[in-house]
Formats: sequence, structure tokens, C-alpha cells
Amino acid sequence: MALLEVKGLVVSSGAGDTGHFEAQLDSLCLGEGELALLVGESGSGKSTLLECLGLLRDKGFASERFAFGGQGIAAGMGEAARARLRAGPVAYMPQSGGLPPFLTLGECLALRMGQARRLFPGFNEPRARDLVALAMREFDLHAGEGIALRDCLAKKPQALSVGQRQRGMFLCCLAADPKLLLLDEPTSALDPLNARAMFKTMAGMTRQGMAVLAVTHSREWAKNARVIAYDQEKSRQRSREGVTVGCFCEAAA
Amino acid sequence: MIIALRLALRDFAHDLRVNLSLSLAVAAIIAPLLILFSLKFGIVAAMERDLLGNPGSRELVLGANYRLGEDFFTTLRGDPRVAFVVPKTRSLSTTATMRHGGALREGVEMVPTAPGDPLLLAFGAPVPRDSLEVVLSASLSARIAVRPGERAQLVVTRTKEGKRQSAAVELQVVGILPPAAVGRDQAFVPLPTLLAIEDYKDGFEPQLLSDGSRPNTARDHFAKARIYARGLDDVAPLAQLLEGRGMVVHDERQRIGEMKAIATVLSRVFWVIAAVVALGGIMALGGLLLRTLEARMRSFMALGIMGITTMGMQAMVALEALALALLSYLMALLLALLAMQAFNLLFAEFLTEGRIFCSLLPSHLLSGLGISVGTMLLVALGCARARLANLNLPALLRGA
Repeated sequence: MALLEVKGLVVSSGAGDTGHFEAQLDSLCLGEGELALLVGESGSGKSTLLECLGLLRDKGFASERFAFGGQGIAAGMGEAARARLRAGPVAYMPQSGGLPPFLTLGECLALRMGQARRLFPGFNEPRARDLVALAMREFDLHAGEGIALRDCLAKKPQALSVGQRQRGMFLCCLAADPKLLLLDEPTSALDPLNARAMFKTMAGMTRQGMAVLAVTHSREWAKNARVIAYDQEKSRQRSREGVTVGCFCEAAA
Repeated sequence: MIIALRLALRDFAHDLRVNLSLSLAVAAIIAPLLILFSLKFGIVAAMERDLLGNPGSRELVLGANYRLGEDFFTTLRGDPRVAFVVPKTRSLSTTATMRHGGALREGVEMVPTAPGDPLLLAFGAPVPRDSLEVVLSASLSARIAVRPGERAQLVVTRTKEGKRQSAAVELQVVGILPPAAVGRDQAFVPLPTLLAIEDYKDGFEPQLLSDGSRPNTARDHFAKARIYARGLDDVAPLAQLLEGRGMVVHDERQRIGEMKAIATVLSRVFWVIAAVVALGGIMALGGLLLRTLEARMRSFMALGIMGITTMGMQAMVALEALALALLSYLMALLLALLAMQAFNLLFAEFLTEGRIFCSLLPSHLLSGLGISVGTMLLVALGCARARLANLNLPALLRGA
């Protein structure tokens, strides 16, 4: 069974300087262990779509079909239900700012595990610990002369570099042992070596059965991944008076 | 809730400097109110204590002689506003001589007493149980050099059929009333003793001072009475009751009225200032809390992404507000106690010994704590609700 099913998803953003914006995703079906990349030029609506798929929105979207693990997702489903899914099976990693500044990285991981344990009955804590350890090992292998991530566990986000924060956020997502991992430009603050490690880790997570959807500009690191790309032609066709549309469709393999 | 508590504690500690500044700002609102209230309460309480501590402020003194029958005393004894009433025989005090050893004092005022006498109780003197016991004023006991437990002689003289006669009886001194209670040479005796003295002087032969061969059996009224109201508030209605019967009454109504007027004025002043300060304080606090919430929106966004609900975030804000309120109140209390101590020292020279200018009871401190915590929680929850109830995570992400 598909983990994530989307058909005809339209996500509206509020009025900006250039009028309304709509991000559209025609179709996406993501199963266990699959890696997909959401690609497109800046401002095309990748992050808007990912936020909606990450259940951060409670309104401003409509779809023919939007389901996670067979459970329908609709606007107005309620904050508690979305929060419960975000705490466990659906992990969303923003580009930046996903770590509370008053907690150390280690405390963030513990909080994330605690939330999953409390709200997600299927949470497998030993597996979550293994996933975090696995990813940390992979990152630290590529740390070279830099500071190993395991030495950052006692530090608060403001004491970490941007790249360390980004990898820290990734670990936090894994700490919930999610089924679906949604990553918004997970390598934007990483050097090529660490970016490569991040993609390697993402691939490793898919081997653990996780479905991963990542917004990225770096397709070269995941050549075998499925690609959901911005369709300029369709976007132009669908745009109308006062509404700019960013349309995404799965590119042919 | 446990997660909210843990997060609140970590967040509170993380922003400790900001929270300490906020606490000081809130303490600066609470402390003056505590000081003002302690002044109001201290002044009024001292006045009340003075009036209550002196049973004389509850005494109603009849200004003339009346024919007070048994019905008068029965009515008063049945009145819940009356704490104590005992008959007096004549307008001018009955006098007698008290003697101990070689010392004697003539013209000692004999005052009737009975169980429950507020004057004796207030100054810790026991009430004479029978006709052979007496309580003396300090000045009288000093004059005839008698101490509690010793016996003094009561001597009554009369002129009967042209001949000067005297009778004496040994009385056990059971207590001494301090000068603060009685300034003159007085002896407090049970009513039967007083009546025996009167009767003997009037030519009767009472049992106590004579052979009992001719007791006075015709007394059916008294000239006066010692009357004490139960509380300060009972003085005025009782006085009015007696005045309604055409009696002249001397009492402390004016002083009691003045005290109540001062209490009312001080209360109004306090509440007006408290209302103004509280209103301004709540608005300033609301603004400050909203500003600090704005500065913490990145934290809330991160928590939201991790699946913490806005309710959980509001609980976290409320718990932090609780900590802030407790810290603020503690600081305010410390400041207020220091200021109160300073006031009490500064004004010590204007106050009689042992009196204090500012004072607060534990119940006041608890009420203050309850009001401070309650207000802080309400303001914090209002701000949290305004800012977090409809948290827009995508919009926050854009700003991150």
C-alpha cells in the first residue's frame, strides 16, 4: 500500500505583491522505501507543497485525493490530529529553524522520541535509536577534521554551525522513526562532502523502509530517485488573472 | 503537561536574564501595593487594637441616677450585643476603708464585679469567686502594701442612733489590676459584698459585716450599672437603645467613629491607587509578554513541527508565567518587607512602644500571592491565546 497518495493537490498562498499563488501537485504515489525529489526553480512552490504534505497547514488547500497510510487528509482536520501525525509517522524537516533554541541537540532528540512515544502507538524506540546512530555515524565519517556531530549533542543550536544544525534537524526527524520523511533542501547549508553524506544517509533510510521526499537543487546526488519536477508549460497554462500557478508533475524515468 | 512543564523550565532557564528583568518589572508593580496595603492595614489595625485592647472603649457609662429594675438587667443580659452588665448601687461610688498591716486607705471606691468582667479579663486578673475575695487596683495595693494571696481588711463605718460604729471583714486579695486598667484606688468586689457595705451604712445588719439579724429585703432597683458592649460595632446601637429610654450615656462612640472613618478613607485611597496601578501594570505586562512571545515564535515553530500542539504551547507559556509570578512576588515581598521595616524604623519616634506602622498578616501575603499569580496567569493566557491559538507554521517558516 502506498504511504503517500496525492492527486490534484492545490495549495493556495495568501495574496502577495504579485497576487495569489497556487502550488499544484498533479499526482504522487510514494511507497515504503522510495526516494523522490521535488525539484524546480526558486519560488516555484516546492516548499509550499512540502509544508502541506508535512501537515503544517490546516487550511488553504484542496485535493482530489490526499492520504497518508490510507488515512485521508483534508483541510480542517484539526490541529491535534495533524500534530499526532507530525510527532510520529510524518517527519518534516525545514530548511532552517527546526530546533528550539532553549534545548540542546540531545534534548531535542529526547523530546522528539518522547513525543513519538506518547502520541504514536506504533513507535519503535530501539529502531529510532538505531536510525539516529546510523545517521550520526555516517555524518561523522565525513566530518573529517571538523567537529563530530556526537560532540554537538550537549550544545544548543546557537552554538552549532548552520551545517551542524541542518544535520541535527535531520537526526531529530529520525528520532521519531517516521514512515515518511519530508526534507526541505536538506543540503542547502552543507559542503559537497557533507551533502553527499546526507544523500547517502537518505538512501540508507529508504533501505530501512522509510519513504523520503526531498526538495533539492542537487539532483546529481540521487540519480536513481524519482523526480517530481516543476512544469513550466503547465504552470503558464494554468495561471490566470491574479493567480500565479506553480505546477509539479512526476518526470518520466 | 509534564512535557509542557519540562519545556517551560528549560525555556525559563534559557531566557533567565529576560525573565529576571520581567520579574523585577512586575515586582515593581506589586511591591508598592503591598507597602501601601501594609500602611493602611497597620494604621487601622493599630487603632483597632488600641480600642479593642482597652475594654473601656466598649463601656457605656450612665451619666445620672436611674431606677433600674430587674427587667432592665434581664433585657440587657439577653441582648447579644451586651458582653457584661452588673448593677451599681448609687451614683457616687460606695467607699470603704482597706487596711493591711499598719497601712490603711480610707475612701476606697468599691466597684461591683462578676464573672465575665471585661476589665478584669482584659488585664488578666481573676474574678472574685465569693464575697470574701477582692481584686485591688495597683495604686491601692501599693498604698497598703498587699500582694495577691495575702489578706486585707475591709472596714466600714457608720453612725447609728448617734453612735459611731464600724465593722470589718478579712478579704483575700486574688488579683491586682495594673495602672493601665485603673488609675485610682479601687477595689473590685462581688455584688453581694457591695450590697452588704451599702446596707451596713444604711443601718441594716447584713450577714457579711454584722450578725445578719436585719438584712435589707426591700431593694428592688439600682441607681446605675456597669455595662460593656460585646464589640466596637455594638457600642453605638446599645447607646442608642439606652438613650431611647431617656438615659444619658457616655461612651467612646466618637473615637470608634473616627477610627472607622479613617479606615474607610484609607481603604478608598488604597483601592483607587491599586486599581490605577493594576490597570497600568496589566497593560504594560500584557505588552511585555506579547513582545517576549513574538521573540520566541521560532521556538514555537520548532515545537509545532515536532508535534507539540498549540494547547501544549499555551500550557508552557502559562507555566512560565506561573514561575514568573512566583519569582516576581518573592522579589516584591522582599522589597516590601524592607520598605516596611524602614517605615517602622523611620516613624518609630512617633509611635508608642511596641506599636508598628506597617504590618501584614499571613492571610494578606497569601491573598497577594493568589491575586498576583491569578492576574499573571490570566494575562499570560490571554497573550498566549492571542498569539498561539491560530499559529501559522508555514508563515513562521518563511520568517525563520
